[in-house]
Amino acid sequence: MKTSILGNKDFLGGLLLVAIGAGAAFISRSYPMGTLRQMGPGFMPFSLALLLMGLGLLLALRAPHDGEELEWGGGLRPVLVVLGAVLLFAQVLEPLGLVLSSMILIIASSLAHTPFRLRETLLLSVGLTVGVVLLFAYALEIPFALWPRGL
Amino acid sequence: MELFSNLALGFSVALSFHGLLYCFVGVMLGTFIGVLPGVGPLVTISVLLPITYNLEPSSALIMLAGIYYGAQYGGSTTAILVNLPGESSSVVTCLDGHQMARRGRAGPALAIAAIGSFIAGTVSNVVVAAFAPALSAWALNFGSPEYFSIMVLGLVTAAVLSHGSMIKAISMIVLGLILGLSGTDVNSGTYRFTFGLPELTDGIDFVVVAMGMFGLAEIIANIQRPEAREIFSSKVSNLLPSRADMKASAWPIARGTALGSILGILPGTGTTISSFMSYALEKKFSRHPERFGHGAIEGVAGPESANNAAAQTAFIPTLTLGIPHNGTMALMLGALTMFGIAPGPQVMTSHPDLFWGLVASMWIGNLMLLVLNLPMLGLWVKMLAVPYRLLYPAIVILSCVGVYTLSNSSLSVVLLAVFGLVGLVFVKLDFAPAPLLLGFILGPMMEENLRRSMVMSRGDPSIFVTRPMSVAMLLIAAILLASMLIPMIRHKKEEAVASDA
Repeated sequence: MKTSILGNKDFLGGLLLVAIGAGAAFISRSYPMGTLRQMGPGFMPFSLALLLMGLGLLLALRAPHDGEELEWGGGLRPVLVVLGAVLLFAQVLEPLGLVLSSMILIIASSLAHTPFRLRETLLLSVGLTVGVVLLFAYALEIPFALWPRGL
Repeated sequence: MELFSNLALGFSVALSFHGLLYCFVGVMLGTFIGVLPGVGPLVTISVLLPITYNLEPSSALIMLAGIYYGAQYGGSTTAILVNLPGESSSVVTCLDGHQMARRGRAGPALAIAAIGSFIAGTVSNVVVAAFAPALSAWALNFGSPEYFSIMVLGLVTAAVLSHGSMIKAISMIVLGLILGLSGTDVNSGTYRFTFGLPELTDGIDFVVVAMGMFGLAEIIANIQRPEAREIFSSKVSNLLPSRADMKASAWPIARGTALGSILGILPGTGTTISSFMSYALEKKFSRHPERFGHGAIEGVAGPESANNAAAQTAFIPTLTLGIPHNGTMALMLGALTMFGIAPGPQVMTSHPDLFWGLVASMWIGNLMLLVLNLPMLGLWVKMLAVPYRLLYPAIVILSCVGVYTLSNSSLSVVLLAVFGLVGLVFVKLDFAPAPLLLGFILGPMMEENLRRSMVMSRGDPSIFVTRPMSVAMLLIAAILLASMLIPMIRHKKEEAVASDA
């Protein structure tokens, strides 16, 4: 298959590994390396980071031979919505409490699929929130603030 | 006999009120979540893990084992009724199981899967009880160099036997090893890869990694896929297999059990490979191989028994050596550490109630599945009819709240999203995420044993090749790696692990 190297899974994956490896090597450079006899905290991460870069390079170099073309099926909407909903939950959980944040998370993550059904989603958010509160706050007795602060 | 007194201890733990309760809750929850299409044991366990966090270690482990079996059984149910494997080991079950369902024989297919799993579970349980003490006694003689080498061997086998590119599998292991090192270095107190965040000084929680890379990433990938499901709910009638079915299944179950029990112990193999091999074996043994793929009950009975046997004996290396060889076992081991139990050969002697309680509860869990699941089938079928758009928000909220409770910090939830994205990117690029989890769990242990070995040898790396056990394991690892360069063997392997979706 002749396609652009830039759309090649192995090439992109290889580059990603090289980048991660370089980042990890750069960070672990500041940790003491120690000696072979007394290895410091930097030895293992630094060596592994170099190994990861090597593997990435190998993968990228072999990409024209055995890599396939990347297909990003399904669009970006589910990705952005689900991850966004989770990040939003992280922001609102402590100030708003478990009940409201759970409802927000359920409604927000339901936007990932089309078409959006308002009534169904609202019912779902109420039902699941009741379940979550019963499970975590009551059955497992985890101390959660259920309602917004100051209420 | 020591074995009997050990088993008696185990059953006293497992049959206690708490033991039975948590086993039951685990089996039910596991099946409940595991039945959901596209949700395999790995996702189920990681999503439900936080729920066990507040329990005592032995109750928590019993519940986790229940979740594990439940999830696996739930996966087979989905495979048979919907033709959607929840995990790679039920891919084989889809082949004939779903064909049986199409012919209105979903009941017997499900029943034989349960019966086969139960028989396999019983036999392999005895294997665990018999072999684990011997292996752990042997492993107690291991020094750091042996441990380091056996981990190398475990990781290499996992990479060699994983499906797809071996370079990619090794890369994921190495990335996992690096991530596993994050947090405070035990020897020097240095903070590594904490990005200045105080929450990360204890390292990244493995549950966050597992939930993000398997749970969230999987959910997103599933939403992206258009929903196309065929459910044979109306046709689940006459549950019990006929006498002819039982007769046809007897040998496949026996062979599957034997095969699975052996393969489960070997590092890097496990449930997927044993079910594939069992299927191939039954096809060879059958007088009518042409029936396979068209609803042959042997094609369900053999692989289902094999994968359950392997699932059980996989606990042997995990619990005796502290070395997991697949993603699910890595999670189990991570859970042990979470409960403050250092994995390794000493677990069996230092926590006999925990080890034997787990062994006994696995058997009871299997029995519960057999007794409870067939009558509850109607409920699972109804679950399958629930559209995905209503299911995934439930998994998302369970994951988010569960992750938060691990450390009461919102940062864990943010990390969940980060690992969800990472998992998704790697899946799109054809990297399987399971090896990363293996590396993640083994990272700190490998480093520790490497350091200790080098202290022992005063900085001479030849210590790994001068100690007989250590050199033997490294040699096997090297041979395995080298054998993948031979095209013929590589093709055979690709056939064996093919369609491992």
